[in-house]
Amino acid sequence: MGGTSVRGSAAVHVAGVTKRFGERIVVDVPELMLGRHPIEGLIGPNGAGKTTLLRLLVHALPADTGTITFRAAAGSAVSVSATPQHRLARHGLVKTNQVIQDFASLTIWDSLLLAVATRRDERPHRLFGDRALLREHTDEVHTYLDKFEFADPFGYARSGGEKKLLDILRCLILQPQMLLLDEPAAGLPADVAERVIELIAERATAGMAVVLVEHDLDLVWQFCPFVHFMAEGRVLLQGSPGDVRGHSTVVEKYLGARRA
Amino acid sequence: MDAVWDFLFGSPAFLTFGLYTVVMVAGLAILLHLQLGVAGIGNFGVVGIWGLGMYSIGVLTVNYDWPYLAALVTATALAGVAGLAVGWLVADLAADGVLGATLAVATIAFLIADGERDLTGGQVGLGTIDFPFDVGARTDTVWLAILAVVVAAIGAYAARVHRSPYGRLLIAIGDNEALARSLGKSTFATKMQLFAITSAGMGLLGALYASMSHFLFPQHIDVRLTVAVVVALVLGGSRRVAGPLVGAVLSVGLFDVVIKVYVKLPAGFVEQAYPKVQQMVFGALLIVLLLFRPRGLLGDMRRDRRAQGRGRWAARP
Repeated sequence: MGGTSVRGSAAVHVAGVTKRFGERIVVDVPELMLGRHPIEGLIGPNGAGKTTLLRLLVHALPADTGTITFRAAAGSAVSVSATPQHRLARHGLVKTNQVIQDFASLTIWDSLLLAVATRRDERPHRLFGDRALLREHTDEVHTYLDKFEFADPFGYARSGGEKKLLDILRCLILQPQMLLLDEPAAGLPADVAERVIELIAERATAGMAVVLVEHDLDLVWQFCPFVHFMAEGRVLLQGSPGDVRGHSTVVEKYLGARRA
Repeated sequence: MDAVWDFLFGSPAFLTFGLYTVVMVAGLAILLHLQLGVAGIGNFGVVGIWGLGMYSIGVLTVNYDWPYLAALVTATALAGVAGLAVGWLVADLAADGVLGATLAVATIAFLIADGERDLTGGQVGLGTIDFPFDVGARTDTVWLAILAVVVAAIGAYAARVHRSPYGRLLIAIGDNEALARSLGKSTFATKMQLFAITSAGMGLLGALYASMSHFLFPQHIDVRLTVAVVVALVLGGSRRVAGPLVGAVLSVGLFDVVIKVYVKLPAGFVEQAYPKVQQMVFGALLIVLLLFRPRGLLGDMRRDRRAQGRGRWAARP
């Protein structure tokens, strides 16, 4: 495994990565390749370490051991542990949040403009920088605002659902090469969740690599051609949805418990 | 007629100095507004950076005979560099740690001014620092006008920041720094820039004050100025540019201009008890404000009431 994906889009390679909180080993992944399929599912019971693994991948948390390598579509490899999170995001590796995260003083409109603004736009002496920013990005921001009905796009995000949707849209408007989604459907109304996933699937077809952590398994089976199953910090199983959902380990550790 | 004139401008020295204090506190509070109200970084060290600017110009012009303008620019730059160092030290501290560390900066500035006698003259004082020009009796009034222009420029800068991508990023950092980082924002570099710029502004205000004061004493760098700036900011509203202005007029303006100039107080009282009464009132005011109106008289920033982008939205079919 050289770290490149078969599709030529972005990929992440994990080797010998562990993370412990106190005595508890939360993530223990000897070898994992993400990004070989347009959308890959990452499923598993609560506490399996899915969210922690995603946080390690974008360097929101440092790994205790091992190496994580992000390879952008252009081919340059980036060592995740040696690269701060904001620089990884600029390389095209971005994650949405499971727990609602928002900028309370920024409107929805502001929030999307913040995401598209570059470092150049944000220099302290560019006091009239909004003119160029609006000239360049107003239409782009409006395509997102048109697609989803916010109560007031120029006001603050009010409901948890609006904040969750905004969190995902902020990441999408960054045009990432690889998007890690941590339970995007949780907290969204069913019809909105469906439109979000459809938009993401569209972008995946256009070349964006997607990793989807989701408890709504119908979405996973429907949209992910490849699924990783995680439990107790380890990736126990990988394969097509058909293979994974029929496997006895998965049924025993996850699906069985959910049915009960 | 003379009686009216006496009532209005009874003691011009008091009046000019009082107004000077109001405008200066407003300027410092606007700069603190950018740090605290916008980017969410508290700073009890305002007077330390201000004092560095003040003493730098004093030391350079008195001890080393530098030309005024060169000393002014150097003092401003030194304050900016010091602000950068302070920002770097507090960058990863929690909010209470930031307040403690910046308070320490103010204390260090006082101790240096007090202890480094060869440089600052200590309690003997450092002087005389004159105005860089002389237009007779009205020189200090002209100086006040110059300060007003500088503070107006600072206010205009702060107002523009609110409408720029830079300001949007500062607000985002104040709200949720980790989220800003996850969107590719170098929050550390942004905070450093903010501290360097705002500290340079504070240093400039300190350097300008040196000429107004003529003689510099360590007591200039005590907690009173920090308290005045914080009270002005919190009273007016820390989240808006106009807040510090309103707050400075209502707090320092009331005590240093209205009462001192227009109320006939016994001479001994003005010298001895009055500053202490002022501190007590400011302290009580701060407590009452934080309890009942923590966002100040002007309230929270309301970016949702701005017209930007709305026009196009409304014009949609």
